[in-house]
Amino acid sequence: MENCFEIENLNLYYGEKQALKNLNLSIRKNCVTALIGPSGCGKSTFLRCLNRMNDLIEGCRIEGKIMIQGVDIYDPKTNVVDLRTKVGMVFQRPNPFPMSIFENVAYGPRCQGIKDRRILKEIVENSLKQAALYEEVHDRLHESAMGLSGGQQQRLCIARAIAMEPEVILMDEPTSALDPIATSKIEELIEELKKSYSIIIVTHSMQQASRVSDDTAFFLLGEIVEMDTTRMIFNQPKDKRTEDYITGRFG
Amino acid sequence: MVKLDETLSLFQDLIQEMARKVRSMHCLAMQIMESGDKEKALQLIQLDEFVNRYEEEINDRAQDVLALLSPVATDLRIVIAGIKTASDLERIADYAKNIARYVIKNGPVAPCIRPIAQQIGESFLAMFDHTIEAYQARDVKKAFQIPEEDEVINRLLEEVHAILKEALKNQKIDDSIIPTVGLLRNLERAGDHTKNICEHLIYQEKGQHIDFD
Ligand SMILES: Nc1ncnc2c1ncn2[C@@H]1O[C@H](COP(=O)(O)OP(=O)(O)O)[C@@H](O)[C@H]1O
Ligand SMILES: [Mg+2]
Repeated sequence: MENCFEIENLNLYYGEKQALKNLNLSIRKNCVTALIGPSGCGKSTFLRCLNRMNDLIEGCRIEGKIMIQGVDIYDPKTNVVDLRTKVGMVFQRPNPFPMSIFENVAYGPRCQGIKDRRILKEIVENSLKQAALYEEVHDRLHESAMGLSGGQQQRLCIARAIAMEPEVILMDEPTSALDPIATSKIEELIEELKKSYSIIIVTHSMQQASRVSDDTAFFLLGEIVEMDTTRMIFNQPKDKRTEDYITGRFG
Repeated sequence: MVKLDETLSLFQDLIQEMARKVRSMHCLAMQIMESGDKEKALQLIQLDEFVNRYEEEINDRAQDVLALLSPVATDLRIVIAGIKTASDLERIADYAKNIARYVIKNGPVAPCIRPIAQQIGESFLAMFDHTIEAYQARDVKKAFQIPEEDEVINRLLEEVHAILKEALKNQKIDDSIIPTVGLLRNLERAGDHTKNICEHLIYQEKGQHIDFD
């Protein structure tokens, strides 16, 4: 199976403080990879490395290699805008722009220079369908996105990421602000989306990780203690710390 | 997670309790084989109902743990192994009940094989005790050794065959004692199910499926 990311000797520092310690891992293509671990262990930091969102943080320094399709994303020649097109991100709190549903999804493609109304309409419809939202909003595409429920807003953010035709979608606790029904819709959606995209999801819910992911990496204090298929991690973890964490006996 | 630990520990206590009941049934069965006491045999048959209810209770508790506490890894295998162990204990109890039924129908075992029948019964009880001790202590090493004890029971049963053949040849007894072999087979089967419990324990602790047959 192909990999979408190859990470070698990744170290990350916030000023003096080291937040990621010598990470080496591969992330499989068209799979869902879950990142689990206690708060503050570096999951979000790692996720942000994958589309260089950490570049925006002052005092943040990165060593090592992150390869996508054979190219190091930290190579000076890498175009960060292109990278963020390839690697989309969905955040913990849904963050639609204060504009219409249509414009939210059309925003990215417009920025890429697509002006043809017909093509934009097609992209918007397609993205909303893939995000399993179209049915619910097709008759109010030009109403404000702020009127959608939390779960719908989050699916809209997924549609917005899909509209950029990414390779990878990063999700940082995408359901932590949602109720169980909205959560289960997002989980179903993830299952569907992995056919077309590679998905990396940070989650604090063990059950969510075991339900949605193919692979799981367990982070602790900036290190990866264990990474394996989700099946192995939740059935027979090799490291005692992993077992303690997934069985809720940690600390 | 204190709650899961507590609940699993209560779950395992229940299995221990069931095992003690099953053990007492086999002790009674050994007495009955020798004495032919039909009153006691009837009591034993009633005890079996009691043990069946234990199995149901264990299954209900297992369902609670799964539905409410979402165990994973070893915790999950404790529940799965527990359900299977309860099912084997239930079968082991059935074999004690079969012995009671036999005695009600045919009277006590023939005097010429009483000593060896007792020996088989005692071997079985020892093996059963070791298994329950291993389960209690989650002792995988012990679980691997216990099946050797089953060999002893099998050898004793072969001896029974020889004794019976010899007795028949010398016309010391008539062939009405042939069913005795069937009676003692109950202990052999009970031994097999005890070995299964060792397999469940190994699965619980190691996640590996072992087959001792
Ligand atoms: N912008 C930042 N500046 C300085 N330290 C940070 C910053 N973001 C995160 N950290 C620190 O890095 C560590 C990892 O944080 P984070 O990646 O958010 O963990 P997680 O997502 O696993 O909860 C924490 O100790 C946190 O305090
Ligand atoms: Mg985080």
